[in-house]
Amino acid sequence: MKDSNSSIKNLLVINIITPIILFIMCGAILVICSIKPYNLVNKYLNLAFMDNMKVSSTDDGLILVENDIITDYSSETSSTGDVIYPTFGEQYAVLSCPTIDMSVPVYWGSNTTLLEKGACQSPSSAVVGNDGNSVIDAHVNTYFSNLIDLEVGDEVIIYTKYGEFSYEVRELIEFDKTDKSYVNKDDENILTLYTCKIQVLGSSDIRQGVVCDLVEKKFYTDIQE
Amino acid sequence: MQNKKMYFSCVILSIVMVFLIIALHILLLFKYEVMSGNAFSKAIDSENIPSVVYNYLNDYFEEQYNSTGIPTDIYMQSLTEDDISNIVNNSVNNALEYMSNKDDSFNIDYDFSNLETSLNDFFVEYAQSIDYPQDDEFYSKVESTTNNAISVIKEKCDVFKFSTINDTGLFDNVRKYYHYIDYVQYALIGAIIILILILILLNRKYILDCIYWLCNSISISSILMLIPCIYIKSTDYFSSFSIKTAGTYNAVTGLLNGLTDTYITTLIITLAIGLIGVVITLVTLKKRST
Repeated sequence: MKDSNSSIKNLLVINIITPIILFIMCGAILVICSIKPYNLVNKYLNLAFMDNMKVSSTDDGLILVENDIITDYSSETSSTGDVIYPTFGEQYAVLSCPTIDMSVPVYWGSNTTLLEKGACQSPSSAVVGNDGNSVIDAHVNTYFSNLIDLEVGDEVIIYTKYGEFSYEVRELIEFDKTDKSYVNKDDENILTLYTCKIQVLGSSDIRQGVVCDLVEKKFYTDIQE
Repeated sequence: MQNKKMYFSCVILSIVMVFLIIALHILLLFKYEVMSGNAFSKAIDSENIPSVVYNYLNDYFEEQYNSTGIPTDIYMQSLTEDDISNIVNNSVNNALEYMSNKDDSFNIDYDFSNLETSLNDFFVEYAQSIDYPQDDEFYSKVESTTNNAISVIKEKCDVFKFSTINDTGLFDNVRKYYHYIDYVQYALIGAIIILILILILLNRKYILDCIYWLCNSISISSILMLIPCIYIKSTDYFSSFSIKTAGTYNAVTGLLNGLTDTYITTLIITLAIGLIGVVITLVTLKKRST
């Protein structure tokens, strides 16, 4: 009788422990089999779901980050340094053109909301301070209304959190919106500013602006967070 | 020894069944929620996509007015939220039909004749007011403006970015293999039935033991898939979707959250069934033993 009772208890214990053992084994198999596929898709997942882009609002999901960009830095600077990569929707620079009295905020990324807030830099272009073509555009009826008043030789300055970068207008340009030659990557360190050309009786297919050569890089040695 | 052999055989069969059930569950979710369009319709309704897109288009044409001189009303009077809703649903249906080989081409088709008439009338009236010659060049500009507007509307209504995805070749890959989905479904169901029959054969003395193993497999498969789903919901993982443009962000996050919710609901139901089955067999075992 005692033996019978103990064997019943053993049977019950086995039947209760079995699901736990099965769960652990299946979990381990699933994890092991998922390692390789996860490593393959991980970079795409990170690209699609960047952790620092979480939003609580779903109006349009945009995180706007306004920064205080100083334009009167007086401490030591260096011609070499590191850029601070901005996030989409972050105001990361101030664009100044003293000859036409223009000073506009520059946001990283481009969409309807950001174009209402200031000029926008294409995320596929070079961050100001890095090598390559930095491409910035804005609406002709707002922030770039007098961009076409720039002339060859005029100074353009971009102030960022990490440095101040001076450019000189080299060329006035006009191109069709489908022409990507002015907005593509470039080996030269240049700044391309453009906006729509106002046209009535038709859609605004023409873009106009300036191409500027980099004259001076001043990276701040004393960066305030 | 025989009992030990039988026990370990049932353990192996259960483990195999867990993964077959997971695969079948995901396949059914894909077939009846994604490819049927249910998940997309729920996302479009819950996120009020037509209204979001309509407001965006209104703002867009308002901005364009400063450079083109064409008032927003000229565009928006021929577009209602119902029109937007129809175009959005059109894009979804078209994409799904193309992927499931019911259609041989992917195009977002819609009747924009109202918009064309509205733009045409505006340009003609404007040209007459300034004595602008209505020659070929004039009509070419009108056509260009109209095509541009239609292109913007279609692009904005393509909230799930099917055109972009199609350009990557993904749709063609799905088309290639989609007709196998029914075979895979029947194969999975067949494999599960075979495993159940083997379990019955092994436990022919006490058929309820077969139910014990089956319900174990159902419960464990549910728990294994519930864990990542709960993680996704608790961390609000999809809210960090990197495309933040109005319409697309709402649509895609709505779709992904909706699918996750549906999956979690079915997992909870299967978990409940599995757990009840396990408990009943354990109680029966105890009674049988006494």
